Amino acid sequence: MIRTARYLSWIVWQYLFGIFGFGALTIALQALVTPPAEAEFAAGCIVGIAFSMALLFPTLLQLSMLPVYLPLCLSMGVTRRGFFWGAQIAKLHLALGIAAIFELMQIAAQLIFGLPALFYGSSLAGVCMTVVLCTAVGETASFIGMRFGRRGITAMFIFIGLAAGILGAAIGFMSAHGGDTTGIQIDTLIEGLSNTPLLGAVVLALVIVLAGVDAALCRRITAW
Amino acid sequence: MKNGVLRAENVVKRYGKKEVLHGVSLSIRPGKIYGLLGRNGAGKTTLLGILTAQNTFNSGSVTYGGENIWENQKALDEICFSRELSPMLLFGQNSLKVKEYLRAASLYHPHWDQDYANRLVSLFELDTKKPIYKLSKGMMSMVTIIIALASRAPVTILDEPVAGLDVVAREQFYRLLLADYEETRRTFIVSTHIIEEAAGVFEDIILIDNGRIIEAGNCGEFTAQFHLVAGSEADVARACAGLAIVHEERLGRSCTVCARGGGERLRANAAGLDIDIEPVSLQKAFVCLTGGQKEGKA
Repeated sequence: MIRTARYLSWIVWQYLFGIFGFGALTIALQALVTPPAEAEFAAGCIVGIAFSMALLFPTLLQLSMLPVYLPLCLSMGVTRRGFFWGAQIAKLHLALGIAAIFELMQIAAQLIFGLPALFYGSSLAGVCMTVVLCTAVGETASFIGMRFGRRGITAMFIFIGLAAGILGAAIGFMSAHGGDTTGIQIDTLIEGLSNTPLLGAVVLALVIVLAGVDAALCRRITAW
Repeated sequence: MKNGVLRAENVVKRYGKKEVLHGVSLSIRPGKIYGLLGRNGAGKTTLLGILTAQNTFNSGSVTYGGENIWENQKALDEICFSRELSPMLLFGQNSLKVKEYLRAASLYHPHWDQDYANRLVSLFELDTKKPIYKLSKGMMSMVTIIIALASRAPVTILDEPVAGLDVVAREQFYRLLLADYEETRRTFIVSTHIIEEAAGVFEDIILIDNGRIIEAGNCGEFTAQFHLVAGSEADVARACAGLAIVHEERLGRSCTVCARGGGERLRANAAGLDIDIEPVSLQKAFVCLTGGQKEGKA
């Protein structure tokens, strides 16, 4: 377990440096091309990009990383149990690293454009928890792919798409005022993410369930 | 646990409804070089994967030093299975670099010898910054050889280590293998199709055919059982009376058979007959047992 945690964490940190560089370039570009009158818009863009990155990157990184490194580690004589627990530690590194980069980008936007942070306190904690959840979803998708192949991955993403659509529709309906549907609003999202105890409990439950699914799938995975 | 016996007992493996290993049993004793020989699809790689807990199996048991090997990190730390690398992975090309593979190997094999690995990289003139998918088949074989030899694992398994290597590189590999064996006396299992070259290296051989072990034992004693007998059909039949014929080729009235059995009896039968008797190489014995016609004549 320790060897796998060390090895996968070393790989995760390389990815995190790359994501950090991507974030820094995004901010630098926005700072260079944005006129002062558009500062609020630019800050919103940066935070929007950072938020999307924070949800997408952990999912996609787990999806692409595990099918490469699980067979490699198994071929080097690691037990499946050892790999699973080492991967959980690396997953935590990835989630916390991405959440930290998100916050750094937000701070940079604040400093450069002189505007208050959109996510802070409990809503920031909510973003971090969502990142952890996305990391867990990516891990489960990759285990499903390794166990069932491309059909499993396709089924997983259809399920995620449907779940996301239902969630989006629910947020859209919640934000409707006076009979007019105003669509998804950022403040509704922030309000949802700020309910830390509820969100934390839901995320923790989902992460544990997904980890259980991963452990069950991992037990019968072969090295090739 | 070090220098334990790696043992498989009645191992059965199925892929769906197709059974590919039928109750395979074997014992790998410490301190020998084993040759695992079999035709394409015989089950060699599947068997090796099961012996190293990299592949699952449906029934039977695999133990090392008396302990079950499945999910047993202590046992798996003593075994290195270096198999053919693939340029493709589940979602695309294998873009891992050679140095990343070697780094993973150094981390996971507790007996890893980094100096030896570095010497082998120089010897093979391998570019460690190249991704796996850009390597030629020979270079991929070199990577597996480096991992196997530098692992210094008490039981080291190499699956087709010389695939894609030119003759000079193959000779180099056999020299390295023997030198390592002389130094460490660890157990090697080498699976290969290039039997003739490797025969001089093997102490014991394991022949697998259609998912069953058909022969296992000392290489020299095994090949000594076989003789090629050539001559007229009648003379050959008289000479081989009482022996098992494992392969027969006819050309007009003359025929050549591969006979298995007592060499003394054959020489006694052959007295006064116009026939040629030759010893059989390991490769020829393998081909006769697994690839040609089989007739049992008394």
